[in-house]
Amino acid sequence: MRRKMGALIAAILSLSLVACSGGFGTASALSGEAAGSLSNPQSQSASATDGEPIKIGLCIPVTGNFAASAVRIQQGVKLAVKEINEGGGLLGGRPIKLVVEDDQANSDISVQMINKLASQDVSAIIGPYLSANTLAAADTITQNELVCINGNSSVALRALENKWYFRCRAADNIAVQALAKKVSESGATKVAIMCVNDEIGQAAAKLYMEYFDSVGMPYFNEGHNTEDTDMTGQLTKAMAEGCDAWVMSTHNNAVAVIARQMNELGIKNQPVFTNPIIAQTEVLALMEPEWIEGWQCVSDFSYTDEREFQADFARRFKEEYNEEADVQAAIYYSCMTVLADSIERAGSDDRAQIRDAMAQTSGLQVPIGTVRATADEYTNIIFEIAVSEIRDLTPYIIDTVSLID
Amino acid sequence: MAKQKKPLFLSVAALLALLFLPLCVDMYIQTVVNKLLINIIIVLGLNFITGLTGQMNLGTAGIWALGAYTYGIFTTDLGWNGWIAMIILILLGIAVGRSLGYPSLRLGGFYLSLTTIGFSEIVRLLITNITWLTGGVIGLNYIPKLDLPFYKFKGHGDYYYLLLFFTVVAVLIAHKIVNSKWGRAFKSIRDNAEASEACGIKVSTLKIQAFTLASLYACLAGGLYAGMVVYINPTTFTIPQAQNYIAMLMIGGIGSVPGNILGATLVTVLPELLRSLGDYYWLVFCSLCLTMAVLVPDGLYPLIKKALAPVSGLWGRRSKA
Amino acid sequence: MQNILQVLVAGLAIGFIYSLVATEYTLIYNATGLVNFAHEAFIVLGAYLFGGTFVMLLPERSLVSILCTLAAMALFGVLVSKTIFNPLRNMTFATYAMFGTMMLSRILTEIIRLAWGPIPFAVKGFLRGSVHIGSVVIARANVYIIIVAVAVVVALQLFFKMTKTGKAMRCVAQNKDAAALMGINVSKNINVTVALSSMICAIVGILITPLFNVSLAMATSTALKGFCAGVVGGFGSYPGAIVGGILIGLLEQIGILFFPAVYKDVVAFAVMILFLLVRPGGIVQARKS
Repeated sequence: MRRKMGALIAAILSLSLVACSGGFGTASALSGEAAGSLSNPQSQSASATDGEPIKIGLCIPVTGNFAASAVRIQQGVKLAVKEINEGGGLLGGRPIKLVVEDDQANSDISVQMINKLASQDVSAIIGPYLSANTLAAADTITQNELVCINGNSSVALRALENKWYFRCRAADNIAVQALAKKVSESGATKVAIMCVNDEIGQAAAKLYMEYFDSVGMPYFNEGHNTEDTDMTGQLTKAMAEGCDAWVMSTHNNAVAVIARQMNELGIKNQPVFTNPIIAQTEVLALMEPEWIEGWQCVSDFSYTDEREFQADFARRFKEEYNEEADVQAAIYYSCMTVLADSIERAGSDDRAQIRDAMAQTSGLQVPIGTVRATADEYTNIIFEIAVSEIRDLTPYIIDTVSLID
Repeated sequence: MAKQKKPLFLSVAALLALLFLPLCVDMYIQTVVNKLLINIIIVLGLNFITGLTGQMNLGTAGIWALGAYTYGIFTTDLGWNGWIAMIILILLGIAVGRSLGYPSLRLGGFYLSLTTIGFSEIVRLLITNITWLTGGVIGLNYIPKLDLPFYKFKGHGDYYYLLLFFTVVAVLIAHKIVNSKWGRAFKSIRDNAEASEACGIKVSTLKIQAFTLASLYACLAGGLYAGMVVYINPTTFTIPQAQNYIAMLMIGGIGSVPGNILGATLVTVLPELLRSLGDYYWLVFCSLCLTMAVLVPDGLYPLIKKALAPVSGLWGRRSKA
Repeated sequence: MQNILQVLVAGLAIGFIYSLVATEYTLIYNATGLVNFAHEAFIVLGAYLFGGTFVMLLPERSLVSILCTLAAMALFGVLVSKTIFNPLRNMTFATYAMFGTMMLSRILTEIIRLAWGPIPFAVKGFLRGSVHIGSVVIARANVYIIIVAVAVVVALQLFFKMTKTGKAMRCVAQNKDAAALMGINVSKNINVTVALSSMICAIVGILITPLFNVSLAMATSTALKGFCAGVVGGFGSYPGAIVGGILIGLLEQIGILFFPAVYKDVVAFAVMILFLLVRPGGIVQARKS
């Protein structure tokens, strides 16, 4: 008994020693180049800048089921950081230094990583990637008095009324309203609602059903799970119900399966509207042209956008990474841009001042729209979204919808 | 005299370290430590099934989810007091344990592990889809902590003490059981179930008891966890999470309470320490786990025990296996 | 009518996938007593080798890419067998070995992520498109899956009955000591068994590529339901693996017609638990300990 207690005590003591000596691990710089190589940790070189670095935390799922998105996010953020640093940095010559932490898209780890970043004196945080992780970390952000900006779209985040959290993206309700209206205008008689069973999909389905109820459009709602790899059941049921229009809110692999199976089941020439997913480069790579020809989606960003600001961003992105800019990359590039602008206007790297400055951002143009933040409005700072149509596996912007939330 | 003072000194030092922890660590470490305490409770429970009776249980995440969600639903939707919810969790634990225990009587080894996986996945799918009750994947938010009548917990820092209290109680109870006749009866099932039956040990009753104990621990840990994180959703309670608990059990030392604590600590803390390796940290961690699984299957604690054997004279005269 | 036929064909196709999965882990189980929890990673590795490497190197030659993938996976299987399965199968308790294979699965997944990156991709033009049988539209991939699966099963049975190595495998599966006494090199035989199982995993991976696209999580539910299929059919038996797989595949698809599709995954587990409680030997009443 004593011997065992002794070993236990030794373990506890060593743990306490490590703890009191100031912390686990050192500030890590996780790398994440686009698909492929075993890469080395990047170092942020200060080219035209030599002031004390401003630290920004990036809390993203580098490993785990959402690793693909983390690659895109890093592309966007790092491009923004590079451009800012090469342009002289912020606050008179101070470079931005990114501190990347992996949260594996796990809520508990997100909370831990945000605390860790806070203890490493970051001025603000970009991330986490999943709305569920942000919901879990909301209290942590407030307690640390840390500005947190990301591209989550769940409406539940607005309901938090958390003054430290900013969402640089059109919320789901805007997207749903835009698409639901288009369904009504398309002359369809019955809509099939196919949304994935996660917090975005379930919220979207609810919003769709509310809208269709309010305009008297009959609908059929059948969900699916994120990992589902076969949708024949849902599709055949919807067909049997006489649906001739489709709205969807789902994820990469699921939408590829749906598209393929819709094609196989002979569902053609019917209006289909989806969330931004089908405009994302890696999702388009999973598709054959005839599956999604003519499908429309809300799209925060499309690299084929002909507007000058967006086209220029797409060009710079392509120069840097030799691939087309993806939606997530554009969203998180925008987050970094907004953050940098707030730091510059705040005139310091103090967290509270950055927060106040961010709440007053107005008229700043970013790849995904124009930022309109007001001091007494919470969370949402982007209120517009584009609608794209897919033609020959390329998204083309056909409309922009701007709504005041 | 000096020899007897050493253990006392160490015990006091450890006690002080534990008591003053929130004051000398930052919130990051505090959250890791709090999660560690929850993990310890769950692993202690898992130990009864997989450690002592030797049956692979991969359904821990499901039981833990049931505990967390039950606590969450009772305290938010119904507005009941947290402590009453905890009593309900005890009843839930017993119920779940008995129902999972019965299949374990007829199935062994791989079959049982599949059944527990099935149970866990069914729980997760039900939680995800019965939206009106559980909030679906949007989850449950604003779950109140287990407040004391005279004190309301404010956050991780002070909630730590409640968790510590429960963990210590859990450790003491587990320790008592493991080292008692009951515990030895559990172990005999792993070693040779037929021989135990022949000696008069009712194997079926014991298996159900093992599952009940494990469920009790996991459910109560679920309630504590729900209060700690305030917001829960089904994506936390997955099969890989259950595998993590098995890892804690296996790496630390199957069957013994200190081994469990050691395993929980290693598996919770080691990935954090390895983060400086950047992109490779998870690979290194999993490789270490595999190496230990192959080279040290009984876990690290028996090794440490042997290594510390020469020093044991300082700590006690009894040499208990 | 169109509905039912499509549902049946889809169910049959996915059912055959489950059958193949059940077959590959039964191979390893019969020979070593180990349950290969890492088989999901093996399948994914096969898919990545095919879609991520060989198809890139040999763009127009699908068949050659497939053969290269099979060869690579066979080598991989031998390597894993020697270094990991061998120590694992000699462990005192089954739980230790199960844990070992679980960790192996995670390591392989991480290696795949680091080597090929986490972004999913498709193998363009591979088994795409559909065939029309009367008024029913069927995915071409489904047709190929059924054909290939049947071919693999038949080939395996022939292998067991006609070739020396195959017969040796059956001996090793029945009684290792007796096999050793008869002059069979048990370790080598087990290596060959694992190699064969890996090749079947690769075939599964290649076959599901047109269905699910190549990603790190492409085989998670398939692998799990493959376990269920084997149990339902009769654990340890090859005919059982086929029967179980088809049954679960069909029940899943038919079930969707009656209850919300999101509960589809529950079907496999529910059927398995039912069988475990009522008829543990499975459909074919296998009596493998």
